[in-house]
Amino acid sequence: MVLAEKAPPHGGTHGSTRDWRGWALDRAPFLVACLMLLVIVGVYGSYQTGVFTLDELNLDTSAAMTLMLAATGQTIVLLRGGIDLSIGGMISLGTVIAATRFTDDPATVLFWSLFVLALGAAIGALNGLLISVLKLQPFLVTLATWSILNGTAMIILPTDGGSVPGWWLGFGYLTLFGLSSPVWMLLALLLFWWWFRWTRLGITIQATGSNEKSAFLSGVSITRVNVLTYGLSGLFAAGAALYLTTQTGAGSPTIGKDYILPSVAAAVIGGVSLFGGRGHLAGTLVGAFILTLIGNLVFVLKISSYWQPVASGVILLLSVLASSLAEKAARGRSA
Amino acid sequence: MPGGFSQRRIRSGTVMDLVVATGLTKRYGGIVALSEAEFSARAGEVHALLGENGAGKSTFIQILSGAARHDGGSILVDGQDFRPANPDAAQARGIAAVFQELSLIPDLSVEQNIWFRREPRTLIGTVDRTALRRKTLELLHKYDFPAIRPDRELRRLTLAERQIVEVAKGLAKEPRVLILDEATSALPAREAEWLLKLTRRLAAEGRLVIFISHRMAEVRAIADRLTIFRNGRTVAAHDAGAVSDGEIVTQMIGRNLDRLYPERLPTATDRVALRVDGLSSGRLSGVGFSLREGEVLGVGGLQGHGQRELFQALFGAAKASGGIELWGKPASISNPRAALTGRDGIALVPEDRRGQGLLLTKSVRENLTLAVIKRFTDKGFLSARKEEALVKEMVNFLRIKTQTPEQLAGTLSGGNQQKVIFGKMLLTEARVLLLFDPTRGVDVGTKGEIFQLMRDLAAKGYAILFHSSDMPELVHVADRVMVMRNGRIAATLEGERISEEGILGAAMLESEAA
Amino acid sequence: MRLKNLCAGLVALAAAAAAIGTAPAVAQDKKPYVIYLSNNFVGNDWRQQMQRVAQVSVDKGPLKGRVELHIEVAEGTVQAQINSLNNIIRAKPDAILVDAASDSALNPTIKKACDAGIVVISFDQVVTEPCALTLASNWERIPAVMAEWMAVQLGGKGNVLLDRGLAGAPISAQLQEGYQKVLANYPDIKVVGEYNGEYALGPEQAGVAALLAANPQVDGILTQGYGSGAIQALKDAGRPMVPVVGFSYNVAALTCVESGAKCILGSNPAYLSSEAIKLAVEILDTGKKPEKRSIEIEGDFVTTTPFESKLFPGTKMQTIEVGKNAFPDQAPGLTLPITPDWVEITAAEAAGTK
Repeated sequence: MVLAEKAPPHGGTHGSTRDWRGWALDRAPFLVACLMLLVIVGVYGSYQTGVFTLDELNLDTSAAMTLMLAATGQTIVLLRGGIDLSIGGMISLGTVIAATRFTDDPATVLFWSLFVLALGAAIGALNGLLISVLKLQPFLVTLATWSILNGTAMIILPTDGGSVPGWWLGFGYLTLFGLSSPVWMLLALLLFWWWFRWTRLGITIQATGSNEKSAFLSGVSITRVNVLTYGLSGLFAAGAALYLTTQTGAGSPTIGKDYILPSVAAAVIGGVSLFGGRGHLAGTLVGAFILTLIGNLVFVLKISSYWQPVASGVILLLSVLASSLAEKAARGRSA
Repeated sequence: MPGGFSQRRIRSGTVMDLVVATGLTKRYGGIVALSEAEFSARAGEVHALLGENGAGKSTFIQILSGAARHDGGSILVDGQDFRPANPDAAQARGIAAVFQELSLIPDLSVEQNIWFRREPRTLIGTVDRTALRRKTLELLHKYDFPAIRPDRELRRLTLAERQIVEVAKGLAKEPRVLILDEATSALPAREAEWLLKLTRRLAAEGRLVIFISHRMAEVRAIADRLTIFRNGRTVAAHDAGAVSDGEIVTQMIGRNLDRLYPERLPTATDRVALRVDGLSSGRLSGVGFSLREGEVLGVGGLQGHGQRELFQALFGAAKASGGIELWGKPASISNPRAALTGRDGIALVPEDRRGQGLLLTKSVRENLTLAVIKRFTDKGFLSARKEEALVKEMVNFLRIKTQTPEQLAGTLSGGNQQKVIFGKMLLTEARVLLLFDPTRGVDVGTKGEIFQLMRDLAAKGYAILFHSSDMPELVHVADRVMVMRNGRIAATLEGERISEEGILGAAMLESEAA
Repeated sequence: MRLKNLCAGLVALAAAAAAIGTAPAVAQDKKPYVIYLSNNFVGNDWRQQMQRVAQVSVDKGPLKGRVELHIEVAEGTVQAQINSLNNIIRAKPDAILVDAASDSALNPTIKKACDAGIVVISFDQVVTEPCALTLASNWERIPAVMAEWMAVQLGGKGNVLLDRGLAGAPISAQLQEGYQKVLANYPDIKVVGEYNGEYALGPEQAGVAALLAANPQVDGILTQGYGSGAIQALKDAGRPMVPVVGFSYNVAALTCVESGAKCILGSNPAYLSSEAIKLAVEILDTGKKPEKRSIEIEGDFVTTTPFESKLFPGTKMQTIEVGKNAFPDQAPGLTLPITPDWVEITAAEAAGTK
């Protein structure tokens, strides 16, 4: 009718001609992360032979996969606007259970693997429940569960040790079409995300992180979202623990803490917002690759390994800066 | 514009009312938000719900939409008991709300927001994006929505556009009862008009629209019946044609409001307080005007034609080129702090008081004194006595309804929050005041007080630049009105020429040609 | 007794010289061996000294020019050390020396290195992977000899205080049990108090001070840390000096001399890294691995009052001599003795103050 036809203030139409600059600005942190990865791989490749081979991809992915799994759960939690420190405890506990329970019998390994995964999901769900029911900060609740899980792991296995069957250690070396199993896992993670982010649950988690009050007014059960969010995080942490035992062949009651902050850093480098609602797993995985490859780069450049944490920090700052600049630019455009 | 609508009044005493609430009571801790309130409305009517802020309207619609639960009394929908556990349950009974506090998700696209949690899905459980787009476009076309891109992320939209999306979200549920809570307050005139028209159409389709607005003209234009709340109780229910504005206002505020608009005495002197010359920034191009001591200068026009940018540029919140003189001296305003300096400075009452002006989790005292903390420091130490005295004075002067100055700003009603912002601004001692839509979402009683305050300040020699999205306010309060169009001053109206028709004419006529 | 020690030292030196002296004749003009040292932690004096002496011991002495040494530090995490080791393996070095973040979690990676034909020696914190050699101090000998020394000083009779170290740390339990096992042979020596010294001066001093207040008669203190904290507590309480057992930090040795307390200080020498390098070079030169997988290094005890151990006959003791094996101008955290006998590393070099 007349009014709609004559409404100039909004500009544009109902239609959807692609706005490429806006598209790029919305994804700036992710694109910057990809750029950084390309630069790192480029420099790395010019110093090290054989970087652009499947072998290199297999090797680097297997090195990064524990972090990737942990960061996948963390990404879901960050998207919800929370944080999960308890993955540290869950990873420790998972490796300890695996290393003390696994035998050469595949059925036993299967049983205890499923047990670890179920335990991870259950403990995560408990985190979500505590956060919702007690109305406590996720930081505090997961800090507490981290400590409890860590202690439990220490009780089961006070020092590094235990063992897993030899065939379990071979998992990372299985290949199909030249790609190792960690690379297939990486592809599976991306496929999972492509599916998950477009499910109602995925959208609801993102929406709740974006604005909890609006989500509630739209009928979202915050408790249910929290339980599922942290449950998924616990599940992925348990997966990370199992994968880690294929790398280390042992249980360690302290190893999990090494993944807490890097999992957050990987997500942030990949453009996931700490304030919830924004980000994608693809970015997180790129971030995890960056954090892993920096070590390789520092190694081949033959500079002191002390530079590795420095480089990680600088990259983190660059990512944060990029997203803040892009947000400003985008806001300037829409104002 | 009110005359533009066909006023179809439905009178069907034989039809059972669709929504009937009796003895409805709701407490929040010790505060009684609703006390045995009554409400009854039929399908096919626009039913206005009126009352000052804090009268219980918001609580009532929260209960009705499932966001809160009542403690006492009952609600019947279609003659059956209605006690929704959550918004979903209310929706299942055909009740949807368009909130003033928007229920939208900043990081989802327009179409995702409209169909949030009700998205069409594919076989593998993901959102069917083709169907989503199709359904969105169907909905937007069906109800003649203003142009909006379905794939745009919500946080990139203006406040007005978001309000429109919120309406679309409500309509997408095909509700039998649609609650519009202050839905027009964020909309520019043209979109507001569209929404009023849409409201009538929905009623004509046999739906019940419960309509909440502080704009009397809108209520008069579209409501079939109205219910008035005061202090959590129902004070009256009328057929809209049977009562006068005066009666309604009296029932809302429980006393006679002499006049909403104060007397406009000519207080302007010849002394120029603020001179702007060739101001350009983004949407602004070459804006020039003079604001005199003791004058209230209105800024009008259709929303989105540079009013916001003008205020931001003057306050130093946006970069701009051009000349600004304050009290005859050139001023360089590069950031808000530069704008705030002392008696020769500029102070702003912002549009979004929650986001920009007020710290909700801080006390009234802290909010008042935050910007001027230097004035209470004695060799670097805060002088509590000095601060206390000034805060007290300000609370009394503005009649801020607060138990103590230590009460948290977030617990005040909208009107009183706005008064705190005024106080904060006055304490800066700046005598050029920028008021950007200061009465938005403020109840009618407080509105009157704010207008009176503006005129009082003008009489004291303050110079006030005043923008309102409600045109009658400009017409009745300002000494002159500048009408903006496409970032320029299209016309400046004085005396007799200040009227709604005059403003709208200047805002629209030539812009159609441009 | 001293003379005997000296003789033993000379014999060892001669043997080492012979071992190195014969091989280089064929190996001298070869390219230097590429050896990587993977260290998982640099947060204490010991690890830093360990890294420095490793470098010094290939810059001079018999190994000069024989080794191209790279030191890689892996941020304290197992994953980082795994990734770092993977990088090292791809650089195809001749040998890798590992001070490990975990005794078992690096095993698959270590195995990979062995399979790639690289000589792997784990030292200090060793790994359980059988293909890697291990080189560490003999942690049975250290507490046993020191407890024996204490019993000798006390004439088999008296009240002692015992340090439990750090709660939950495996090494703490091992040291505590080592002390107790030997003391059990002396029924007249009573442990009248235990405290957690946590390998830091503050807790040690506080722990001992509290126990001194509660026990009027204390004849000896067995610490797991510096010993100097215990001595300070004795001074503060106005108590006579009693024999003190501790570990061989520079500050401990200096404090013993200064206070006149009788001390014995056990050593986990930081030159374990140098020993590991030397072992790697020997294996690479001869192509033969030692028979035994675990090699134990026996660092000299540093003491004010040497004695002849009956439990471990032939145990070497160095008498503390300020300026010679204790250094007032060097960092308190320097671990003594500074140098193995086959190369001359100075205190300044070990402390990095050169």
